[in-house]
Amino acid sequence: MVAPLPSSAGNRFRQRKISTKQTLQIFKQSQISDIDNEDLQQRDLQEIETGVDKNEEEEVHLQKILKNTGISSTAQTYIPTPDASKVWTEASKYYKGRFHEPESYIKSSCQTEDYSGCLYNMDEVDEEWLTKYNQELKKKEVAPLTEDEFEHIFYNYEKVISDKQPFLVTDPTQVLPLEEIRLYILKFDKSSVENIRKSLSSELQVHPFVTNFDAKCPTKPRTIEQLLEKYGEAVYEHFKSRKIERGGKTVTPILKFTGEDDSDAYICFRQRQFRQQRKTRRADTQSSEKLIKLYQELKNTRELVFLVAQRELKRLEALQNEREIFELRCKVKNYKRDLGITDSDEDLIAHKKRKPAPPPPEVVTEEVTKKDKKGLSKVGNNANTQDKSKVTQTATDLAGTDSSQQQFQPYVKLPPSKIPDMELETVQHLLKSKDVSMQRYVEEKLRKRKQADFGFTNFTDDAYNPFFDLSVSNKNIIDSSHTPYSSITSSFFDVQTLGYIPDIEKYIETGKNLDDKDALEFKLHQTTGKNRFKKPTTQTKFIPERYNPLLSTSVNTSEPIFTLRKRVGRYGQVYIDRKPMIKKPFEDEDEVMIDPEDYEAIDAKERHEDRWKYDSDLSIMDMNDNEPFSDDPSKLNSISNDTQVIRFGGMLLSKAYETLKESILQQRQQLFYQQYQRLQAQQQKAQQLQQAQQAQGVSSRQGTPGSVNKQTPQAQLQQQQGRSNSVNQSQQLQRAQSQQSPTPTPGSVNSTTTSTNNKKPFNTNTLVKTEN
Amino acid sequence: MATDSLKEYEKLKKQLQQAILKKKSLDKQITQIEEDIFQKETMYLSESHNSNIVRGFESLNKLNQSSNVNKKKLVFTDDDRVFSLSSHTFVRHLQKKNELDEDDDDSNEGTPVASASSTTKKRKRAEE
Repeated sequence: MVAPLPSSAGNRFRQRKISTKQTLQIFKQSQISDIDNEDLQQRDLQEIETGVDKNEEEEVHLQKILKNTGISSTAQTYIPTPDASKVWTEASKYYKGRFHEPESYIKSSCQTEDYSGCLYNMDEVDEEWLTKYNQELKKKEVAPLTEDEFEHIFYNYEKVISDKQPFLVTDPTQVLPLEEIRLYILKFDKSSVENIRKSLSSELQVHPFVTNFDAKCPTKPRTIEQLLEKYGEAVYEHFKSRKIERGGKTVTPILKFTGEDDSDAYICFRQRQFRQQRKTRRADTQSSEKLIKLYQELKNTRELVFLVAQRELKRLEALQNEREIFELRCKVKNYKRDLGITDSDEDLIAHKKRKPAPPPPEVVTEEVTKKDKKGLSKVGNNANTQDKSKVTQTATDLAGTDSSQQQFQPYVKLPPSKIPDMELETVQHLLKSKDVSMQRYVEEKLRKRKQADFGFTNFTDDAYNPFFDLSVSNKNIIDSSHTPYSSITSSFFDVQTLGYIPDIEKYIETGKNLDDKDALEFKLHQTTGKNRFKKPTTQTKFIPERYNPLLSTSVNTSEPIFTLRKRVGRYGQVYIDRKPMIKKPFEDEDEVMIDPEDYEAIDAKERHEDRWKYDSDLSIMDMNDNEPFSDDPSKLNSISNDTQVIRFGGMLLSKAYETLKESILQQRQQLFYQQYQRLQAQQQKAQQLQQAQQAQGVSSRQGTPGSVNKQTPQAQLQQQQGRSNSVNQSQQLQRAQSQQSPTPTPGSVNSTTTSTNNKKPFNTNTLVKTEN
Repeated sequence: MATDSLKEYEKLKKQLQQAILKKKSLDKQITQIEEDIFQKETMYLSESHNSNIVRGFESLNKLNQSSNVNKKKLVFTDDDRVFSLSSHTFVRHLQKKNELDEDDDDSNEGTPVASASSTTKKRKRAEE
């Protein structure tokens, strides 16, 4: 309850949000009377919205009214207005001094529209007067004064008076005479806002100066000078009467702007303005800097805009000039036609800008100076571009370089929606078609070549199909099973050329062309002629290899035709091994006719076979039983078949061994169990026997009952163990075996049982083995 | 009659020549003004930091103006050239000049052109 008071007596009551952090005083009903009555009252007071600024709330009359709210009726209370009926004549005595406004002073913040057109709007009094005046003018047959013109004059009067007689209120009758006003009106005041158009028009030399902001009048308003001369006097009289009527104030009432005077009773009714924030010096300099910057900006902008305006004026002039030229040309042409003058006057032709690159600028300028008259129009028409070029030092060849410009076809990335809908070819198809076209091309070439060579026979070579023999090399492959994975395979083939054409003369004589069907004949007997074995010569037809890389089906690869090998045998005997195509002689007959007893025959055969040992009818490919390129599925991890067999065998073996081991173990266990059962039976018998013996000799022998007592529970335990755990069978067996031994003490037995209890069955197994 | 018309013809011809001469000088003046505007505009736009008459003076209202002053200069583009590019002849003129520049880049021909093109290049750079 002891808390800082939320509202001290002196401070204004402020409503705050209730928060948990703020302690609030709680008043009981009994305490309420203690609360300062004024405090409550003040609270009530502030709830009334006065609508005036805080410092103005203290105004005496307002306070009075505020305090009396609710007490007396508000109708009787009012804020008294000051008495304005009296004129303080001494004012001019105290208020003196002169101030000249500088030209560049920012004076007001009117909107742009306020500066366009006239600032004075005539009212009904003026209208009345004007109609009357115009009727008078009509009688005098003088042009009537329009409303706009009247406003214009009136405004000018008003302005001069407000400028020159700011305190006319003191004596309205002292309005300046017309002559003086006229003087001021006609005097050019650069600083005045209204004279912007005037100054601009004089600067740009544009008369009349009409902007887009100006209302569009059907007739052009007359200048102020003219108006003053014609209607000035009449309007002045009207103006003066109105001014006096208004007591020297402006004819149209305006808002009170100077309202900071605290003594002014009408302070509540002045124009509202936002109270300015307190400024630090820094803020002051900042804003002044900003103003300077803004001023500079606007100055620069004005300069630019002014230049633009000048440019446009010049352009207008140029256009008018062009029109003039055109009209003059028309006239000159007419005269020329009438007079029949036929000289080529270039002045008359409106030259189009030349498209092709014109000559360099020096030439042009020379031209201008030389044929001053003739080149005039040309230059005149092209002056714009040419002058520019001179200014920028860029030659006139800038004109019309369009034609020489290269046209680039840019890469256009189409959006997905714009991609034309067309069938897409697969790469495979494309490649195939490419292949086909290539093949066709080659075939076409070959055909043409053949046509060109018609009548000639080419024996040097197969010109169209250069053939060469692919032969299997003579290297003996020992283990062909590895060939699919071996790099030797790639060097497996030898290329052997074969270029022997027998009976060449025949072909030449007959003029027959060699072609595919008419295969080349190779007479092999000529090659084999050197051979010791006079074999009947064999003529084999060989179809030369047609090498066609494009058609896989028609490839006809020839095998090696004939290979020879020189071999030196015993005693320097030289053998020539031939292959293939040579048949082993007597092979079939000998095999049948050999007599096992006939050693000579066997020997001869051996010798014969020896001789033919390396001759073979079969190519290496055929000789190899296991085809190197078999269709068998490839082997796993390149592991050879043998290895796989070994591994598989090993696997089987180990498996078999394991099963064997297990079965042996089982067998043994069974055996042990049987043995154990037998032993137990024996043991029981022995125990019974022992007990009988002990019972008999109790009196004779003393000091043994303790041992007996010990033993019986142990035996029972052992029995239990043996039944529950078959693993312990061996232990039981062991024990049984040891019991069989002549001197088994029960204690020792017990100890072994417990010690072996934890051992693994495998260990026990070995133990058993060793014991056995 | 014939002599009268001949005289008239001569007179008209003289007038025409005068008009053509005037046109020439006017075109010259216009070109000069256009160049002036372009230069002044370039200067004005490149000097203005945060605000100018084209972009508006909103930044002047900001309180922390002092920090903004040191920021990078306002880059201006051709769109900002409201003064010089308000003339269609000047636009055409500039286009041609640019084309010429491109030609120059291809083949360095014409020594008198070189200096002008370099200035325009500078301008271009400034624009960029």
